[in-house]
Amino acid sequence: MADAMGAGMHVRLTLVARCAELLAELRASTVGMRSATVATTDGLAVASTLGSGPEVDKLAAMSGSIAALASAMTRETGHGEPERVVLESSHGHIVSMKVPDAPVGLVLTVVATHEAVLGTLLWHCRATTEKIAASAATPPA
Amino acid sequence: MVNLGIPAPGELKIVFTGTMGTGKTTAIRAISDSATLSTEAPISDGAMGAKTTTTVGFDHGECLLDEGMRLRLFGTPGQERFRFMWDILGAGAFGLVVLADNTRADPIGDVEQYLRAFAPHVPPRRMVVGVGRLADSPSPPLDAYCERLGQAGWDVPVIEVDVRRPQDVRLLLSVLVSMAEVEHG
Repeated sequence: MADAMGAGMHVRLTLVARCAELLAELRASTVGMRSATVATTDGLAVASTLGSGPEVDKLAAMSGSIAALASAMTRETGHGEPERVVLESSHGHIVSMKVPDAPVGLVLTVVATHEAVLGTLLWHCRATTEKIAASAATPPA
Repeated sequence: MVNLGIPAPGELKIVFTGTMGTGKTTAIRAISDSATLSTEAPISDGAMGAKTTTTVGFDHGECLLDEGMRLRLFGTPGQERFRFMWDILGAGAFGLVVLADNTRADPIGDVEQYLRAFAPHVPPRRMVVGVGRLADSPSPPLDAYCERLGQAGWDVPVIEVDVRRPQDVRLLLSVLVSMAEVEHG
């Protein structure tokens, strides 16, 4: 992930490694999951089960946009803060949610087929963002 | 293609684009008649001077020109990775404002990149270039923009602009609208 490792990047390398681990666990624990990606809120890829490359970079940028649009929508309608964005498509679900209370703004996006049960998917996503948040809050050793 | 903003009769959709930090969000805030919408996120690979956030979705505002034309203004993210937003916002646009930061290494090359990216949506006769930070970096001068862009086939007006000054931004928009009047004349 050339972008996330770039000079001056504020996402610590330990956090990048931990995200990759957690995403692999998430993918293994959830039937029908096609990919899981963590991006910064300004759209840079941090880690993805897809590895790295243009596909991941695009997904990361779109994750940043959709999180910002969701925040704008709840703000403009007086609806507080968004919990998550759930996109139902002909092929399954795409879920995007911010990592709560991370020092750097992070978004988790998962792409899942119809095989995934939505409730289970959402539960696993929430658990993963909480683990990422805990890891992000831990000072470097 | 999604069209974010099919304008009503008497309304024109104008898109502001250009490199990150050229002041697209600032320009739209400077001239909008009511509250604007913006979608910013903290810059994660380090702030650019005083700039700590960047647009990752789009900006939206509206303004009424003296000519009686109502403009719906959309600002794009500047960074290339948000190119998909450029196409969403470019669809159905009447005119394009490309902002340049003259302190950058090759601001004319930057401008060309955005002119090319929006050419599928907006004809060159409805594009205008606003050059900022000329006071900080007088080179390249406006003539150099006209010459190089002209050679590349972009015959577009190039105007100095301070995006914080509403009258400067309005001038850019007036030029775009007057180009429309010539067309319909």
